[in-house]
Amino acid sequence: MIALLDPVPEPLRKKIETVRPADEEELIRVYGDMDDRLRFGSRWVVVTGRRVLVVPTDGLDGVVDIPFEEMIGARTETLIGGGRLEIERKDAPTVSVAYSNSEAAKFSEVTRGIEQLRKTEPFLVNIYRDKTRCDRCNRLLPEKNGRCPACVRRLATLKRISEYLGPYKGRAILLAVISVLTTLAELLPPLLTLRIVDDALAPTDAGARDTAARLSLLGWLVLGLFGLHFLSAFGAWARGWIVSWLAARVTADIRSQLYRQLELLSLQFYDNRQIGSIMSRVTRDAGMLQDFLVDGLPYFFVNSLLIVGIIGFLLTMSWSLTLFVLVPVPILIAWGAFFWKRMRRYFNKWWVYWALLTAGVNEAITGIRVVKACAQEHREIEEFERRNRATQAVGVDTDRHWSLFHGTVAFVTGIGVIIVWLLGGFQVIDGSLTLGTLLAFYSYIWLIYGPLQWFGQLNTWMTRAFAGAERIFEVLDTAPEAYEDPNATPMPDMKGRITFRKVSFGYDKSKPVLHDLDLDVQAGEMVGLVGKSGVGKTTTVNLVSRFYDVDHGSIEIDGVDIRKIKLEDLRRQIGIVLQEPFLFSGTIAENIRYGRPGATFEEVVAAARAANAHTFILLKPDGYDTHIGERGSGLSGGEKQRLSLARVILHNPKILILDEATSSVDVQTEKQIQEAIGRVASERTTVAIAHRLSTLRNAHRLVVLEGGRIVEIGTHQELMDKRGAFYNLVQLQQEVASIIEVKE
Amino acid sequence: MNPFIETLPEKIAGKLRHAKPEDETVRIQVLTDMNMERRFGEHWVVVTDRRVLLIPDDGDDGTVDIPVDEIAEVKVEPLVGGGRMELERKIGESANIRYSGSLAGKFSEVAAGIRQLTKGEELTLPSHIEKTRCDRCHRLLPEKDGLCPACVRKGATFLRILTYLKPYRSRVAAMVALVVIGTVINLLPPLIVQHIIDDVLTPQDNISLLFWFTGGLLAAQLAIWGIRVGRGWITVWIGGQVAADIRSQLYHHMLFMPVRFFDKHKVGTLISRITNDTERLEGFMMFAMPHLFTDGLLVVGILCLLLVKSWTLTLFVLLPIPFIVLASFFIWKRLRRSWGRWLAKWARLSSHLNESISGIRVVKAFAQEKREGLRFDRRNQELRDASIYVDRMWYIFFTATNFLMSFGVFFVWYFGGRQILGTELTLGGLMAFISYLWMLYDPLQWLGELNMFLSRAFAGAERIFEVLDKEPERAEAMDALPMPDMVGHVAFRDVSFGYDRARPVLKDISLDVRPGEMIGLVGRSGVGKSTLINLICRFYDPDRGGIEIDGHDMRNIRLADLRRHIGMVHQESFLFNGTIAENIGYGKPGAEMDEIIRSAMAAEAHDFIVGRADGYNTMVGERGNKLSGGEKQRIAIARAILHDPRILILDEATSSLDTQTGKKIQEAIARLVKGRTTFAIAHRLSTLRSADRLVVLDDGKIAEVGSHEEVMEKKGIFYNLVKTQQETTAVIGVGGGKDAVPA
Repeated sequence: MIALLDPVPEPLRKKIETVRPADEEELIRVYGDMDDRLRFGSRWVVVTGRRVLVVPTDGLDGVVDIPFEEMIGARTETLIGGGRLEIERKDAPTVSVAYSNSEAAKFSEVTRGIEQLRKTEPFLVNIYRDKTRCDRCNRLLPEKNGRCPACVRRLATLKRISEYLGPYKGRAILLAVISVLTTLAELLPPLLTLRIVDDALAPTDAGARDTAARLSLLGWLVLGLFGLHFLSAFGAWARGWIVSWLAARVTADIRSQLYRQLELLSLQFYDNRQIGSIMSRVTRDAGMLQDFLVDGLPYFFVNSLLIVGIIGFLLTMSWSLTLFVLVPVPILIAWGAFFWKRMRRYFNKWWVYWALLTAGVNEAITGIRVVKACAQEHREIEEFERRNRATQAVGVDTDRHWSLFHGTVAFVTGIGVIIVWLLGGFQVIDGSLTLGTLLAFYSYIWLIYGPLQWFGQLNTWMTRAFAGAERIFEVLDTAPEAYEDPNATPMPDMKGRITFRKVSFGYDKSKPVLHDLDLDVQAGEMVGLVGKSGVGKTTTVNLVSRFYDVDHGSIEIDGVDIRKIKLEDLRRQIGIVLQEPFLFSGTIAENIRYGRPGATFEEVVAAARAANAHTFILLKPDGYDTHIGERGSGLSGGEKQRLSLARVILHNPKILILDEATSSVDVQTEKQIQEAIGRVASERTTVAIAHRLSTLRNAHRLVVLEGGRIVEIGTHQELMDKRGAFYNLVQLQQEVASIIEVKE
Repeated sequence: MNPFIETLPEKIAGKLRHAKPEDETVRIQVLTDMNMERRFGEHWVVVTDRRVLLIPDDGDDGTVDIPVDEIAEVKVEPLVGGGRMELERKIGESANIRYSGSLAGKFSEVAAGIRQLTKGEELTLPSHIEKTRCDRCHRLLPEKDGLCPACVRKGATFLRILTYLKPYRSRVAAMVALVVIGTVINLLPPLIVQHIIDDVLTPQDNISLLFWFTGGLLAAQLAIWGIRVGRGWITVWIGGQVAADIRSQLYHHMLFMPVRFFDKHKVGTLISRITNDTERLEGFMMFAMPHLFTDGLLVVGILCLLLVKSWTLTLFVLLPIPFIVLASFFIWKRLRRSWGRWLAKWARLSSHLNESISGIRVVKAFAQEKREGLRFDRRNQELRDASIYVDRMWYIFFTATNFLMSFGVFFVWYFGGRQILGTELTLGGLMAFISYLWMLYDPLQWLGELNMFLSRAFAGAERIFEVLDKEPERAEAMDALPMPDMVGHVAFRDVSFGYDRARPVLKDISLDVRPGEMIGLVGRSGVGKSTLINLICRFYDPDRGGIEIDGHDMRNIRLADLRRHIGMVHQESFLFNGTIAENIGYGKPGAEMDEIIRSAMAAEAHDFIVGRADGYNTMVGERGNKLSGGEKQRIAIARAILHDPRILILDEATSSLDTQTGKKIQEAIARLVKGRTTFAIAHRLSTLRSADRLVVLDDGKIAEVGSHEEVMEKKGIFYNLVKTQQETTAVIGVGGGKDAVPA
């Protein structure tokens, strides 16, 4: 049983129970988050099979009980910042429940549900609602149903990212070793300068050694400094060398894995997402991971080592001074924690605004012809301007806080240095510390700066990289189409008999498009699907290709459930010609070969001939080697269609699906394409959809769909004799088509 | 400039004079980049009206003369890394010319040109060939006709970016002031430290002085903090403001670009200019520019201080600098080149990605996921190798300069130490000196990175400026004619037009359309029907002749007025993500709900709209994907009705609909057409039944004009079209079945 039930606080549940008749089950229980006067304050809407109850959160009164028989209808009304559910009653004023924009989608479903129940239609509502806010922290999500960047599971993600290093363990270990050595080489110089100052330049026992000895000592020590420096430079270079290799490998691995997964995901995945957002996972998010791996992970180790090492040296030199120097650290941490929360909010907000801006640009540029035809450039610009300035304001705010944060961190750490001079100065004066030690101390403090600041930024890094990683993992974790199902039946040679058994399906399960479809298509038969638009014709053929799986019932090919057939075998033997042919950039020959990359040139030409495409191809400057642009730009609609037909012919499927294959071409081209289709369809099972019934003249049987059900099946003649739905369609069409002849 | 006439070197010109008869003019004169043995070497192809000459660049012999009438066929064949043009002679063996991949586009045109000559046709060559390589450095361009990232003109671009700062002069001045003060204060602490060491620590005395000095340090630290925050405050504001300014200027400009511009550029690259490129520029303004300035000042300041303190030591410090300059000069060049290569690989990868994801249905329908995966892998690997190379180069550069730079410190320790022993220098002085040195290295190190940063930001800026410098559509005369009311009289006067001027699609079209008349445009696909319509909307301007509306040349009419009076219904209706009401009201912002409902009713859309739970507030999804084709179409018609244009264009408005909704839409359209000048294109000739006149186009010319009866009587092209269509539609009346397959 589907039900749309929001969790309800205990006292309110009791209250609802007092007003709801005990024998009626709650089907919908949602809250509107604003009260009548558009102030925040929630009211609950409870729907049973017989009535709607509107229950205010506070107080016992004010419950409105509306039995369905007293209702005229329910509808939603959009208001600024929110909307209103209006329930019109027969003898009483209309009841309305206000809600904010974030609840609009939910209430649209609620309204639908109430209407379904009232009209005693099957109760089907969509209980999967687009998530726009994070469940845990309630922040606005950067994309619908997306990941909340603030609530990423860090450790788990880190572990999973590190797994990508697995295949390159050897290099990773080498990298770690070099990092440790380099760090050591970077830590030692202050100890040498300590010796330089105390023993060579300003020894406390001046005069104990002569100038020449001090000079040669100085020379040796400086040489040592130089050696260490050389080592650390060499180490840095070696580290870079390995890291570049490693990071590029790992990123390429991730990208490749991600892309393969994307190719294998079902169309359902693509239906719900924008192409841009999918692409950015492969480009941007994978790039962020690379950044993290190049600059993040290795420095994490190096810097941790540095900090530990430096603190160790400091403690051995003077533990009391070290403690004083570390005084600002807790302040720093507290400050960071406090600020970080706010920063995250700012970043998030900025991200949302930025996404909005990009989406707007994308749409306006894609639809530029419409914009221009309607002369709405100025309006689009205003819209853009508003978003642009809003993004700017948020961006400036974010960066300002960022710079304040940074400045303050630098300041607080700077206090450490002052403490060294003051307290260290005291110790030098009373002789408990040598000048050289103080200077080494000072150098170490400087050295520790860099890593500390780096750790300050670590959070940003990690957040961004991890959010990207999570988006990538989301794709990887989505179940792909069952290409690799080991239990699938191989079917390299199908005959092409298609059987629908009580098939029901809806893209959204709550809105079925097909109801209990039963149909048996013989091998080699041509069946025409006829019906109004939106009646489920395209859905039917989508199911045959198994782009989607049926909700109920089954589809069988040669008596085997298609869910059990090896997907690759299935698709290899189904050819589809769509209304809007999609061609890839490349040569004409490459496009025809698409379904069968190894085809010989002769086969390509034969297929092109069969598709009536050969002649126009030869007229192109480079014949079959003519380059066509992105999505076949540079070809006319008819040409594209014929190429896609040739592509299918070469593919040589057992089952051919024609989805409005000729509706967007002119008469002459249509005739040519029809001829070609006639040739192709003759020895294959063909399922054809066409608005122009004439296209279906070759069909053995016609299937007339209405409201997702089959209403008539039969040969053309049988259906015409029935004088039913099909007859009406034909009549209508002839009426339209014959007008020219009448005028003659 | 004609890209097919390249300048001949003197030597070759001599050879040509020798080989070519005086009276023949050169039509094509181009240079290949490989000779017959496929080694690189130049080879000239000269084409006159009568002959093709192949002249090798070196040596005196080897000129091949092929008269045009001896050529049997011209073929172009792609080879690995290049291609071959083959001139097949009627008698004798064929002549071959080879060229590399970058010239393939050009030679495909040359071959087409020679083919035209052999057939005795007029030679037409495109006036523009897409550039795939940079003219200056011959590197592969990241996008066709794009800018070469390696050849960005930095100085000019920088100055141009600066002009965007002008409106915020006072804030910039404040920033500069803060930077200068900040730099001076930054130089203080080492001096204080010097005194701590020399006056307090070495004599081990003067505790009160120590307090004063550390107090001074604290004050300096506080001042630095304040200035830093203040500077951040201002620069962030300026950066954000300027980036937003540029972004909105760019967007503004882009929307007013002619449609031709959008034909040429991919949507993705245009969007990335508005988003990514401006973002980079913003980064530059916010971080790089202030840093550049501060660090520059700091370097100068420190050098001065060092020189004052000890000029001998300073000279030692500066010793490694020439080496660094030399090293960076060498490595930088290679780095830039590999960076460019990386970019090109990246572009290839993302265009593959875009295509295969947009075409995912086709990929799946043909079960080609694996092959797409392999192709992606190949590109991915190329990108990977390029990026390893770039990163490694970068590390070499980075570590080498770093290493060289810090050489100075060792000199200072040694020679400074000697000076201390000789009591020419105090320990504090040495320490201050070393502190300054470190302060000096920091910005210098950064300068190396800065270059990379600048290259990226500037390449982005150049791409932005490239768009900004293109002439927008509004380039109409200031005195453009306002036309608040239009009657709808459209006249074509000898209009010729081609998307590429050399290949006219429409030739000498003359047509006079009365206000309120409905014209049906008929013809095969590719004959120029849609082009004609594009010209009426002034998406393109005719190459020759002119179109007049109400007696005024269209080019003189204010574009906004013109478009306000033209309405379009397309075959594929593009809807914007928003509610149904917003989409209907698109052409008339501020329309009342009543008006919207009335137009929806007129478009037969009202019923299905109110059938939805959210009625007119139903969200249509991206590009209207939550609606069916027929629903989208009706909303587009409602949009046109509300727009209330004087001139209406129906481009295959009903072809993708089934009969029943089709008929409803026909009725809606009939209502819409009434009283408007209408141009309709339809493959189904029946759609044109209400047209007053039919215009039959053939080969870019008007072949037949007249009422339906008139053109039928001519028994010409239209008659044949109707015949074919009747054949195809009549069959169903005769009876279905396979026997009806036409021969």
